[in-house]
Amino acid sequence: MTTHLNFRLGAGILFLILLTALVSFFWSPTFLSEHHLIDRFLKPSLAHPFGCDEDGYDLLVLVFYGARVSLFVSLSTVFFSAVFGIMIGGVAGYFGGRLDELFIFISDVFLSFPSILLVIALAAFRHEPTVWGVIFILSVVGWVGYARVVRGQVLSMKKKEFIQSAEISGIRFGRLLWHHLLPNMAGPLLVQATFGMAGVILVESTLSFLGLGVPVDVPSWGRLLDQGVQYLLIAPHISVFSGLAIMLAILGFNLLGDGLRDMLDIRSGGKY
Amino acid sequence: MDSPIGLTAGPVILTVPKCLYNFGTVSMYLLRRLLFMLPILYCVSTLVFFLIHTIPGNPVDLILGEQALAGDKEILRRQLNLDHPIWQQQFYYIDNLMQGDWGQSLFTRRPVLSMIAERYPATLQLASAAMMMAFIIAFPLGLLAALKKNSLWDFGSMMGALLGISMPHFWLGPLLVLLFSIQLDWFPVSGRDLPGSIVLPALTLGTAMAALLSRMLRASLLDVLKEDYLKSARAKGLREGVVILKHGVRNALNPVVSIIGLQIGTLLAGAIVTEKIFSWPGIGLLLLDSIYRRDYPVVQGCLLVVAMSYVIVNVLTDFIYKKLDPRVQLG
Repeated sequence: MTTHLNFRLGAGILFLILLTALVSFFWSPTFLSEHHLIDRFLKPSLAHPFGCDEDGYDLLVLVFYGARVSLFVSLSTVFFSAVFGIMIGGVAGYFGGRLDELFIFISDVFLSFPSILLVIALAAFRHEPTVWGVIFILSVVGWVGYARVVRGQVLSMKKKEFIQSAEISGIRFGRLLWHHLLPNMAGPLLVQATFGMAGVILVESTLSFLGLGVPVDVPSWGRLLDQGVQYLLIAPHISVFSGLAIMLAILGFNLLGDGLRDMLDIRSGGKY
Repeated sequence: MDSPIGLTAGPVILTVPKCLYNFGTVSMYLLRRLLFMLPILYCVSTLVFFLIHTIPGNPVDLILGEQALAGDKEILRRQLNLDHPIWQQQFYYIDNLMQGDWGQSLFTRRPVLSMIAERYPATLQLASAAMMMAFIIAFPLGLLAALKKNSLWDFGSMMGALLGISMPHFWLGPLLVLLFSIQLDWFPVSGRDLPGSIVLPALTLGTAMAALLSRMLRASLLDVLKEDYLKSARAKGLREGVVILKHGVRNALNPVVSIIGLQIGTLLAGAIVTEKIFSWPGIGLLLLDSIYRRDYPVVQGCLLVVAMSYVIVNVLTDFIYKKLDPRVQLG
């Protein structure tokens, strides 16, 4: 297995972003409490490489902090979506019959309209925005993709000998799924999760951009960009740098996913 | 073997003219798809109905404020049918929807359906302009990349496509405004009234789709270029341009069309963001404005319309696909 160029490029970009998120743990607390209104909309300079925002906060610190928010939200969402997807898809694929038909119908309904619309719909009727609320909404919409992958994999493995011999030994379903089925579909799931990360970062920043995402006091990339668009004429650097961060993160996960798919030789995601 | 029905119905049916069973399968398929649309639309409207009940606390208090007069609260309760048990409320809601009564805006007091009808053409215009833009960009890029495979052209256009896919609408939009409206002053910053005001929104919305289409066109054309029928077209002395365009591209477009159908959903969703950036007075802006001012009946209406358009467009794309490639069996 050779490492693919896309994989290395994606991994490099993501490593940088992870680093900025980690740096923000040591750096942000002091800088976030310290802001000077006199620095409002300051253009990029040596002291403030990314410039300053509408309240005089250093944009570099905010963008680094935003990496933490985005990674936290997307990792949690992917984790919860994958757990629910594995459980539901595993049950549907393994037991089949009516359960499977019900699953197919529900997932068809979910996939029959754009997920961002469903996310906006759920977010629109919330009263108080919270970070966990965003994660909950994104997971409610996100599990379907994982469940479909898992169901397909389980269906193709169900009749294989190693599963049948495990069944003969009287194994319970939970153990079968965890110890026998799951390790054999780790590849496709990993690819799905990598592309899922890119998707979640995009949707989360879209929500925050629309003012429906994380709370106002959490400096996420989407919120920064929303602010940047409002002050596009006087402080274009706000939208340029926050957007660049979002694009790099999405590009990084897309490259990593492309590379992983080629390296693991997985065709499930289609060839495009 | 030339008809899916011929296989199951035995030799008798082979005496029926061929155009008739094509008609039969297609209209049967249409019927099935339309029937499948019904439960989906039912689920969507149920979901939209229940959303108003996910608001923590009492929707009436939230909409009017807790200090509102008891009489006013009672009127709104009646208007929203909140004085009935929930299953009856849902029944009334869907019954009203089907009769064209989509409720009344809490803000402007106008019927929701007429507000939507006013805004819908703008979104349709934006979406079709974006699609056209996507085709204009993707077609030459994909063609060039496939014909000059592994060249600098190929690498450049595919790198551009990857960037286009990764670039969110809400970043591309402001960047385009910075460059073309503020620096160069070629196009208006926002609105729909001035000539040329559609260019930037359409470009913003169309770029991601263009990126995807050009990648698909390249991959699909590379597959087609290996086919034997291109060799025979060349062998019979056709000019290279005719071979590529009439025999190559014509066949490479089929998978691209099916993706367009799926992409229209993304396009509709992207329109919400794009309309916000450019203050384009479409249904997405109406949806967002209504969310901000808690005008829930309008929010419900907009969500329903966008979801319905998506479902209908998907059925339509299947037909176009079938028209382009008669070998496709509608399942």
